[in-house]
Amino acid sequence: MSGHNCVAIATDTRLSTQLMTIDTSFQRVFKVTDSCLMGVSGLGTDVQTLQLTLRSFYFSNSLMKFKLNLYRLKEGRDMKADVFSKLVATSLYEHRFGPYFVSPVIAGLDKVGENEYSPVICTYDSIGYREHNGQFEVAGTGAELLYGVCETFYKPNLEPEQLFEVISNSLLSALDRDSLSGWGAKVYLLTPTELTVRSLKTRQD
Amino acid sequence: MDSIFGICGKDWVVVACDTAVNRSIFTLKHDDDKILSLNTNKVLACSGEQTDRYQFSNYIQKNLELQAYLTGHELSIEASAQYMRTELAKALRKAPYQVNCLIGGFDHLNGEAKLFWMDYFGTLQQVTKGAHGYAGYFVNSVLDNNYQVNMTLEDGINTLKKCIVELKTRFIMNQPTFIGKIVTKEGIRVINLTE
Amino acid sequence: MDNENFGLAKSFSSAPVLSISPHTNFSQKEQTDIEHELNEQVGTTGEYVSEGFCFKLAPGQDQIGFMRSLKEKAPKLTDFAKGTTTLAFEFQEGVLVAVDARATMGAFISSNNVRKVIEINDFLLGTMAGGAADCMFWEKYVAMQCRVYELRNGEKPSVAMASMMLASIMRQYRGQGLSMGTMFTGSDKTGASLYYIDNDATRVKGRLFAVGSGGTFAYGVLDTNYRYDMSLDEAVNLGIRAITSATFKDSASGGVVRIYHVTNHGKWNLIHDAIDVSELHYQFEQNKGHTGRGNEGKPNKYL
Repeated sequence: MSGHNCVAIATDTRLSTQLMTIDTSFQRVFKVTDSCLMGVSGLGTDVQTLQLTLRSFYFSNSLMKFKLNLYRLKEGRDMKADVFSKLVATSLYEHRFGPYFVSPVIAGLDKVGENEYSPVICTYDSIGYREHNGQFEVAGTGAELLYGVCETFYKPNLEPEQLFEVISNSLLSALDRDSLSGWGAKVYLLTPTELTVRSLKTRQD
Repeated sequence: MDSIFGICGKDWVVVACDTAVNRSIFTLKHDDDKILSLNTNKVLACSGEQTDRYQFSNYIQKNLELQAYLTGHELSIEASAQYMRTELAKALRKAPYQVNCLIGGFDHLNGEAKLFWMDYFGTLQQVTKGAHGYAGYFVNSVLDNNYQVNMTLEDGINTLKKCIVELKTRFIMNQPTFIGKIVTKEGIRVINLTE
Repeated sequence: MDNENFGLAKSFSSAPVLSISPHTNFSQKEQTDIEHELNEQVGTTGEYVSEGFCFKLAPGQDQIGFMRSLKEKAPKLTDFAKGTTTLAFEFQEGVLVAVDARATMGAFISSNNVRKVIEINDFLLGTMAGGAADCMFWEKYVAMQCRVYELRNGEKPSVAMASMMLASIMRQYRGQGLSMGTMFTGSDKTGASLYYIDNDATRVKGRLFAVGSGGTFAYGVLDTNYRYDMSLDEAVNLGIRAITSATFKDSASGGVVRIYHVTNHGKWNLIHDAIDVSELHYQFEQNKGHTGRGNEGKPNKYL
């Protein structure tokens, strides 16, 4: 979701096989650059293959991390969120005939002027069709449940704290109706100056 | 149909598995050790088809050994686990290994024990207790109820024994014997978990 | 049976029972005979008469095929509520029944406050797993039969007999797509007893059952802590704990926990109506010194 000079991603933290919960602290949201976050929902292994923060650099099989580092070396600066969002689309399409079973969400802020930032909010299908309307995007098993509540509560140009309230309540309401999500939730709020991560108390059933 | 499960405390981790190798409708072997000791502070428990289990665990073990030989450094528990994940994820879209793993170990660097849960897709997650296969449906609630952050190794072993009792009462597979491997600061110890 | 109508369509008809079984191989002649009879019944009233009941049929001849194609074309219509954790066990003071309250349709939670214990009458209870409508209808039907028996014979039927009625019905409709997994429990002259009955017409008397997708998790807790000589308080706590653990692990179970106690003296009591399992989970974990979020003993990873 985007606000006035801020963006946020909210996610649940469940890892499961079919109906059985394996763990309740699975990481789905990753920091791309200082001004961009990526949340990935879908098959656990593909989430991790796409992910960005592998600690063991030696055997790195992290797709996006590799591309980001290469860009940084070539250009001598961090990738802009908008550029990154297009890179994700082409990267997913590389696997057109054997796709990763994921639907990522990107939230970033690109500097466009003095104290002016344009939000980048987009989501993809598993083969890289990029969808964006600049307001909010949803993905995952509870996506349908999120639309109604997001459309009701979302307003453009919310301030960071308001955005946090809206995105948290939207997520919590969807978690109550989706049996496959829940078991903890995290909200990542990104402003030009800082990134805040908050943990939400959710139902544990 | 293999049962593997484990539990992890502050400075110890125990991984248990049954010891049967089944084929068709009979049991080929009653005393198979499905927990490979990767070195003196890491164990890798695998469930799945025997051939994949064997291939994968040996491939991992030899490569970790090679890596240690080349660089002079042993990989940490998490780094080894991430390496295994990478290999499984790479294989997933070519010729997948049908192995579900639990990786347990003691990190000498920070004095912590760690347990990782990984399925054959290559989904890796650090856990405090975990189980694979049908066993998971029976033992997960036992593990949940008995786990406590500061529990002792003895409590951990008792919990695993409770799990085995539960498997013997409810699970239709015949798994007469279970072994466990304990990893602590001192190294790896094998215990027989069946009375 | 008498020709009275108890408000159920054409129940207790004195006509001979005609049962249409999809798996029976009729000879050609018999086939036409039956079709003739069917035509009469379906054609005129559009009903399927069996064991005194009239179930409305879908238009057309091939009922099984119709249901199958319906499932393909409109999955949501045939997607009945499923996914449950229910358990019941005998102990010295009777039988304890504990159930969750979630109804799911696919991944969607259609309710978190379902009553999965069917209060059949003042001495019988049945739990609900599988098709909610099937459980509800046939257990209510057994309730009616029990009342009829009582009026005729001047005494209540035994639990064994009542459960046999339900099992016989399941036998009769086997293979026709009923879905039911129930723990049938009640209290009669011999004290409380417990049966497991399902749509395959399995009927088992036993001490300890857990039914539904979360059943295996509930067994884990029950088997480790169960003793026959528990007090009522201990039994209630065990029931609550088992349901809570199961709802935590199983995504298709959840909501609230309800506890019933069937005494040894011909009555049942509702002990707890609706305790939130999520609250219970946090409470149990906090008693152990945990937060309840499941992040103990693991590094916090945010980024």
